Amino acid sequence: MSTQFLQSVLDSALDALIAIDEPGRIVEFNAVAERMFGYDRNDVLGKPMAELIIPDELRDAHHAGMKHYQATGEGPVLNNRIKITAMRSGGENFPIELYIVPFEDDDTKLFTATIRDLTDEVNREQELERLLKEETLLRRELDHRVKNNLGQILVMCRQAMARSTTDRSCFEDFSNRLVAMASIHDLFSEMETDGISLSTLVRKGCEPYLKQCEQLHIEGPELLMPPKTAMTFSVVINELATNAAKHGALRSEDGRISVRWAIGDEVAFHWEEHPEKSIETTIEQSFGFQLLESMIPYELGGSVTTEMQASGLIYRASIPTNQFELED
Amino acid sequence: MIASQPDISPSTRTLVVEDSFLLGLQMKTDLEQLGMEVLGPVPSVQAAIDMIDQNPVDAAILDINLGNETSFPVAHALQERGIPFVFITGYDDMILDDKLLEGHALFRKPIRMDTLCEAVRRIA
Repeated sequence: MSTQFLQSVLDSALDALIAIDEPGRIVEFNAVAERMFGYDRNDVLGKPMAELIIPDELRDAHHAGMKHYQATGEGPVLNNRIKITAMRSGGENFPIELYIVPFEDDDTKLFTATIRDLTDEVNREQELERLLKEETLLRRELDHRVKNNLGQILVMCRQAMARSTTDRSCFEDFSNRLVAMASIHDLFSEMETDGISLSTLVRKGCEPYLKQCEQLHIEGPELLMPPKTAMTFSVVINELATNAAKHGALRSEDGRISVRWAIGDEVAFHWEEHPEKSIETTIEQSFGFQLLESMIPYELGGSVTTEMQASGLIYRASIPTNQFELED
Repeated sequence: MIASQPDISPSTRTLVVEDSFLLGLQMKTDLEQLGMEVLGPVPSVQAAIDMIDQNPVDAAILDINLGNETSFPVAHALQERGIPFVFITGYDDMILDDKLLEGHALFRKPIRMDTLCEAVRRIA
């Protein structure tokens, strides 16, 4: 193959290509290398590579590495993609990715490096990081505003109710539902991963009504939910918990609630109350009951059964697993 | 000022498509109080199409964003059948299919129910 042909291949490469001999003198320096480092090929051929393109602070390590390779044949930087800093002719440092292969035949020993300039990539990464930070700030601000609005709605309602003679328990229910919604926003803004865990949701929903924490038993695999599914679930859990506090197991401190779930073809959610013997569990045929019966089938496409056993309330929900798929 | 009881014939059956159970339920309650006959609410394109196929529908209220899908396929189905409809949306700057929106009223949430009822009465 002609030398001209090889040179044209080298010069049409997308990466910089630099070859050195055993003492470290440049024997090849292609067109991309010329542009990247700011030298003319003819000016650098035969010159020591390390002084030209390796930054001062890395030069000793380079020489030590070369010596080590010559003595032992070991070269941890060889045949590996390595990210490191290089130097342009003007002394400016810049990030590169580097791949070095040794070449050896009877009378020559060469090292060839392909080099990619990572300046743009690093800049893009920094820009992306900045945007991500900005997005996090925006999300927090939005959560804050949403919660603020919910708080104001609560006050407006309280003020309006104060002047009315209507049953106060209506307002208590409403207020509990609104506070449950607001607390979900806390979870959204706190969440580091992309989903809200079902066990957290159940615990947070029940906590305000527990007389002692042993009253609630939770059992199920870690299950993360996207915001929409979590929102639906939190409404249901709030209704179950308030109903238990008013009519069910949480009326006394001896009552127990067991919440279990399993993941199969669908997600099977199971809420079971074990009230104190003397207390009979009931469920109000009310708006809350309508929420229990309809929220999940309507919004998540699952099915629900509510049973009043002698032992207590049993609420079962079956939800398609795709409602638990997290967005990318 | 919009009358509290708009003049709407009881035979105007209005389909409500809304993915939030609470909003859908409230819309049904309010619209019925204003004298409208409500079909639904239904939360998805499929449920809406089934409803249109199985019931005579005079008009429809379509929430644009239904969670994992938009109600545009429902709008197409209604258009083919010559059934008038209005859009409602909770989004300000969603990418909207201009052709479909042309000639249809669009209301941004939160919406006053008497306003919505009046709009449906006009098109039905």
